[in-house]
Amino acid sequence: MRRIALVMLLTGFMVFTAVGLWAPTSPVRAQAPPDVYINVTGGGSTKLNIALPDFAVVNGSDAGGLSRLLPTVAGNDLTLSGLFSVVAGTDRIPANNPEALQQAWINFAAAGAHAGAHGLLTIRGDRVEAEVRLYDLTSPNFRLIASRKFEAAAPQPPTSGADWRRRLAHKIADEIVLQFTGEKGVADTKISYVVGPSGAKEIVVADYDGVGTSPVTRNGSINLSPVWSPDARSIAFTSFMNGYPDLFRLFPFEPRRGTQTLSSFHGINSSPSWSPDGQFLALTLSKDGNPEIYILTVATGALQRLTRHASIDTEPSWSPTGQQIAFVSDRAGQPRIFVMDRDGSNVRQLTNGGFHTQPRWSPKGDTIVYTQREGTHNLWAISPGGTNARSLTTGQGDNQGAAWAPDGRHLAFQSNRSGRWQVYIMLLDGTSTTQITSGAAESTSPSWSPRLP
Amino acid sequence: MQFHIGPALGRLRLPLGPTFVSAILHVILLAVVIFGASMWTTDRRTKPVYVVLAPATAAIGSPKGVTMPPPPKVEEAPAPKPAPPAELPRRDVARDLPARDLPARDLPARDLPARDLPARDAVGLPDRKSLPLPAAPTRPRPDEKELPRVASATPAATPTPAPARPEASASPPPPLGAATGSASGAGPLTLNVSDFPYAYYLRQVTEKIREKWNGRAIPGSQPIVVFEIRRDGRLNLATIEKSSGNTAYDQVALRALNDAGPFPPLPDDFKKSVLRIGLQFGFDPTGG
Repeated sequence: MRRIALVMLLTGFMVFTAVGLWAPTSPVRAQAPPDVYINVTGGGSTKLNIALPDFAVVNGSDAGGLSRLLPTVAGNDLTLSGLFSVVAGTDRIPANNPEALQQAWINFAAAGAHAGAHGLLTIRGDRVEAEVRLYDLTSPNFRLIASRKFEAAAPQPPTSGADWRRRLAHKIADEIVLQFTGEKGVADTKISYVVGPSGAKEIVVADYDGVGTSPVTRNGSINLSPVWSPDARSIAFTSFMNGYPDLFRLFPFEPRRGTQTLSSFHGINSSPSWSPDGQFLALTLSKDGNPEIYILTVATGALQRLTRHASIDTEPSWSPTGQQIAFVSDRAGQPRIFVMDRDGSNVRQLTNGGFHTQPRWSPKGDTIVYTQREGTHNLWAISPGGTNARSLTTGQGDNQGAAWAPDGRHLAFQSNRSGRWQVYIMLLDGTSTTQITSGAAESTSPSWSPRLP
Repeated sequence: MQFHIGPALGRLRLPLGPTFVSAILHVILLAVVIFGASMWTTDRRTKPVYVVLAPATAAIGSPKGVTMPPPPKVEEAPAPKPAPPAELPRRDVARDLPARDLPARDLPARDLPARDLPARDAVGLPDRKSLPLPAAPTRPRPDEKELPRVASATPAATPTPAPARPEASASPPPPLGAATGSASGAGPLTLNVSDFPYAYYLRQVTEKIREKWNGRAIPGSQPIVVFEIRRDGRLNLATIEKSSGNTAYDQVALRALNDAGPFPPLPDDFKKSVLRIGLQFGFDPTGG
């Protein structure tokens, strides 16, 4: 028996030795073979071509033209996403007709479409149910990728400005972006900005594509620098409504909720920047002499001073981790971008050689956009490590006041390239610039909301 | 000889010679079992298809503003048979494939078409039999040429199944892109037993990784990474399957993969909990 035990012991030892010898040459891994192999080499990226024909009405009557409106608005969203090209073609594919669907996809595939979206609408009065089916037009039998249902209803009582049908289209577009990229789109968002001549500036809110403007301040005073809170329910802004530049907060989707005062210290109360968790507000106060950066606890009103310098420190912007804050200081002679830890320590200079203001930290954390004065103003981007500084706008009038979209891929900004200040959106690489405001009034100081809840 | 190992084994006489021989025999046996098993599993892993995603632009260009052609009648479907092959990327791909640094043990994958052809016949394409299907294994085997076309995911490949079966007009042709393919891949364009026939998905994944791979690739031997995508599109695990020989470069490849995530959610009808992908990195001297 003992001999057997010893042999077993030795055998066990040998097994371990053998495994140990074998493992490094062939790492232990799940033995399942890959389902598929792909090849990746460098090269330019291409957009996905998607066919978005008019939706089919399965049930009810489409008096409002939804079957055309939804794919039109969603198609524009997909184009603005910078990830898709919408393939032209308007044949409506009837519901419950596989042959017609097949034929339509054949035509779209021949026109270069990689994917197709077929919408089916059920309309009952002011209630709409939309089912969107996505098809892979690059696979031989046009496989169904996903099918998603959306419901929407006209608000009671009807509200002005916000169009629930456009919002439905935005949600559809965001879902399509998710299905093809792994991250939701930013179509179901709002942009707030300042409208009006100097002397009377009011804040308005519109869809991110500039449609459906509705005013959210009506105090006849000067209202500046709106900034969306991370929960997309409120907007912090500076207003002279009480005669001094004080900081307030309004709730654009809760008409009965009044404006709340955030800070009204002696001197300037300006440049609000929300912490990522929405509990704190970094802001600039000049109550102690020259402008310094403070953190305000929104719930309690407690103040914490971060900077202590004889020069001007202003325009804070939180990093998405909440651990660092970028800001502007002229302690180096001219205004430059600096970064400090959340408690005001570890201050380091990010930019050199220029006149730099308006730092805005990307929600993805990997980029800080700022404004550089070079005759006119232009938008620049830099990594938080201080490398890879690059110009985003050039040779097109004066461009400033960048605001990030929640995806970290889009920016809104103001430009006077058309002769008057207007709000534009563009991709982070400076392409696909689209003007979203127009008209006689000046539109400035955009803020892009987080994705709406 | 006597060993005093402990109280329990104290009186045990250990025959050292036989034990030594036994130990060596055990080691040899274990080695045979383990390496035999690993070779067996490698053989198994020749099943997956190498999907070579050819650049879509070359084939289709930008369709923006393209006016729709009049809907072609189904009878006209076989008409696009003379597709301009020069324009299509698959020729390049076919030439490229042997050049890649694929591990030697993956080469048996080329045998796959031969194995699968009977399955296609079962689907009802008897004309295939007239092709030189068990052709002599001379160098550019016809089967080999087919592999990338099937794998190539561009829509350009979709309307051109005609060259693959020029006799199709004789029998009632299945409409282009009709559901002749199946999850088991018996259709004319799937060619193989890939469990994952969603070309759009592989295209999107490739695009996302390519974006991050740009500028990081260096010439020379390239790594192969195996990774998994979960149903929600998140990256599950990634391991180096074949090292480039440069550990740091392997890590760069892994980082590119991690930076590329999250990926699109898996298609509704793909029922597995994860998609397992073998990823061959490459170096493109023109695109960096």
